[in-house]
Amino acid sequence: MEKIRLRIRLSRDYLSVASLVKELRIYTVCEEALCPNINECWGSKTATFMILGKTCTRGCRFCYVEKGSPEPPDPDEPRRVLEAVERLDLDYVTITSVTRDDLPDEGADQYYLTVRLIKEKHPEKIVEVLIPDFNGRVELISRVVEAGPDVVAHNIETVERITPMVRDRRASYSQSLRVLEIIKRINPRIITKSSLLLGLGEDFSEVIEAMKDLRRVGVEILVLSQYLRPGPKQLPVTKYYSLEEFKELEKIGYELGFSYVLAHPLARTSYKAKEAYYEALKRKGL
Amino acid sequence: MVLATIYVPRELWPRRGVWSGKIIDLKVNIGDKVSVGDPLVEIEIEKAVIVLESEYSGVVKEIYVKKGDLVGPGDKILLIEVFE
Repeated sequence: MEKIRLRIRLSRDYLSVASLVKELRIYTVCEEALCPNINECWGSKTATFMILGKTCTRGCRFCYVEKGSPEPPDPDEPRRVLEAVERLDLDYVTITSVTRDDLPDEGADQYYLTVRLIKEKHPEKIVEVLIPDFNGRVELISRVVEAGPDVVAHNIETVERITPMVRDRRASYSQSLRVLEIIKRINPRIITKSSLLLGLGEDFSEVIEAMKDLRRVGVEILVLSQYLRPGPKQLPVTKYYSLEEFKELEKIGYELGFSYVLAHPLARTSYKAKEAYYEALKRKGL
Repeated sequence: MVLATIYVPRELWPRRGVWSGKIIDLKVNIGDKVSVGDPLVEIEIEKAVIVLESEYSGVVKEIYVKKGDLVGPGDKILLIEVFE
């Protein structure tokens, strides 16, 4: 099993992020998912906050985030995220969460409160959320959109055929497309974004089909990256894509009309999110 | 003379409690000069190989681990005499 190599230099900036998330008791997906880009991101004083705890109710077979019965949402969490945003002086904020099938609102309110708090105090800050599927419930997706994020991401993760094998049985390809469609329907000005992990058993042509499906529901930013097996419990990697293949997919993505395509082995949904956002705006002529 | 001890960083994953890994490669020997950014040691954990880079320029004075050792956050790895 080929392992991810994480270059770590404990620079002053890296340590400032590390001590901040520890002090403020904030989870980051950087840490919980063992992201290969942690050094680069924390070393440039940015991080992706993970709200609603560190335990996910879903059991997707590619993901390293802890699975099980989560703790109740922490009412003080939105304030602490705001404090982290302020102390890191972030002008572009990325927030994600675990999936919370156990809660009546599936965590939508915590998203609302966190985004609202940041936007009310700092309307100039750009906020991107990477949301779960909320079981396709329109009222919950609306709640998140109402908070006023600038970008809403939701990942289809893989192609249609192998979705049942890769993702939790409660997730589905069509449901995720519907989530993306609903976001745009509620507020067409919101930029939507989705990611696929490659190397889980898909064919090249299926990737292109998935890209077309994402365009059909109005997705503007596409992220394609290499799946890396986090541990023996997760699915094995079926293929390592070459940089040329990523380049080709990027080209196809632009031909299909995406405003921005980030196709790179180590790209992840929130990776270089600020750059992706501004590039997408530029290409849209905004 | 300023000496800096290099530890397995506790700050690597500040919110994860206990984790451990195996030293799979030492990139330096006693007496080697190192610069900021030079790889010092490779530690294999479940998902990844951590390549710990130097935060200092200096000379390696002591090495406290050997290949195959299991280490965890806070364990000493080596001692560097830092160039001032």
